[in-house]
Amino acid sequence: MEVRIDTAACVGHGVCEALAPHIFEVDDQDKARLVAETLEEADRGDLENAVNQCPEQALRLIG
Amino acid sequence: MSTAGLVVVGAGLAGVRAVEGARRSGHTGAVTLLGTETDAPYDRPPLSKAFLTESAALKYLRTAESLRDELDVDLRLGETVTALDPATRTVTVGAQELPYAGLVIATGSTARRLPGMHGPGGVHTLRSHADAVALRSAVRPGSRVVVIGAGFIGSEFACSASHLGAHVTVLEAADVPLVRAVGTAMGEELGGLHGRHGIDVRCGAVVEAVIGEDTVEAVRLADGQMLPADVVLVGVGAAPVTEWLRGSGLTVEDGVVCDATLNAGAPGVYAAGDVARWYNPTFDRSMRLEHWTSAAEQGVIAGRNAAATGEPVTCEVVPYFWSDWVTDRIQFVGVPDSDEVVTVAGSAETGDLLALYRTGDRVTGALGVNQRRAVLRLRVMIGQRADWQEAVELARSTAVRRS
Repeated sequence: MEVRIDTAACVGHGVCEALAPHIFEVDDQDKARLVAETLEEADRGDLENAVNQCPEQALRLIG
Repeated sequence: MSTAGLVVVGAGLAGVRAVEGARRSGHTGAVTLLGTETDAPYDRPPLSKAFLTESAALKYLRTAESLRDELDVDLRLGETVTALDPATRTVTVGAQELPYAGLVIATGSTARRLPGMHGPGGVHTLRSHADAVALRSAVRPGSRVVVIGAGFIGSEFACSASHLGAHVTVLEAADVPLVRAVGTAMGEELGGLHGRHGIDVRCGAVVEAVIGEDTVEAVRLADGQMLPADVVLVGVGAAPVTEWLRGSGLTVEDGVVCDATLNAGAPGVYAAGDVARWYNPTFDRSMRLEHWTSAAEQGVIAGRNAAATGEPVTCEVVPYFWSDWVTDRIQFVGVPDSDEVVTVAGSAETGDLLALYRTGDRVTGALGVNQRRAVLRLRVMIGQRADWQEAVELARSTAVRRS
């Protein structure tokens, strides 16, 4: 399981961080990045929510 | 003979998320998604921005192939549902009575019109792909553009038209713009931003008539003033699409009235998106939102609940919307009516405003101009029903200051 962040599309709404602060964070350049070192199967629900609710559709869940 | 499955009425953001939510919750039965427009589900926010200014292509939420092949959806575009009968659990589509086990109402909203003002060519509204295509070809460098309504659609379109080289005047009937969205004090503050962008905004300007036979020539104000116009955009809000529910027995009060699980009062019937007025537990009251993120959040939950793959879940939302005005990003979280609004940092004028909204001893809203980081942190706090003082401290420490 892997999350790809399209940093060109991301504008830092921070919806992902609000939904899953243990996985995402918006940095000082207003881009989302991963804070979780590894993704657990238990995170799948949070990840799917973040992907579906990203207003710029900048997140993709693979696997 | 196939059994009745999930039927989703409306193929916008809420409808697509409903289909995804149902599948993700384990629903393996039939899913039908009906949409009045002929385009595959697409994203609306760019229509007032990049679609106009950069001739950007339509951005699809999911392609027709993806819906059919990956989610096994019977996608019926260009088909309008005209009635619902909860007693027989059917909806009417043309001559067909389509049965459902679960139903999601996601018919969205439509641009409000001003009676008697849409006769001549050149008078537009902006909601659909077709609307945006018409505006894209109408606005030229040097065009005289009059925008009626200084809400977010009007403001975004005004910025885009100005960017394209048009001369733009925005007319607002109220004394202060954006009152419904951000409250009086902050509406005034944001109204000042347009001047910074070189857009002429006139508040307290009541439009009396749109002049022109075949094509628009001018807009006449109640004080007799005439504004010459080649293009007029009417941006006076959106109305939920509920006409088709007349006779269904569902309660409609500026939206389909739903409980905290988005249930619309009939077995298996749920609503999501602009059309839904639901009880939002986070703020302990019912509300109807026209925001991208709430349509997405509600869609997932309505789809899951309508598919009945488990116990219905409640839908708790911290409203969030954003609006891009040239280079300024305005963001609002929470609800605008409050006991007090406190400016924590900056101003709209300097492009670094951060304001907090207090209700009792809770933080219930926040407005930022170019304050992305602080606003999203506050969104989390509002959802956690955080204490006012705690929010003020966080806001002070995360706010960006430009001056």
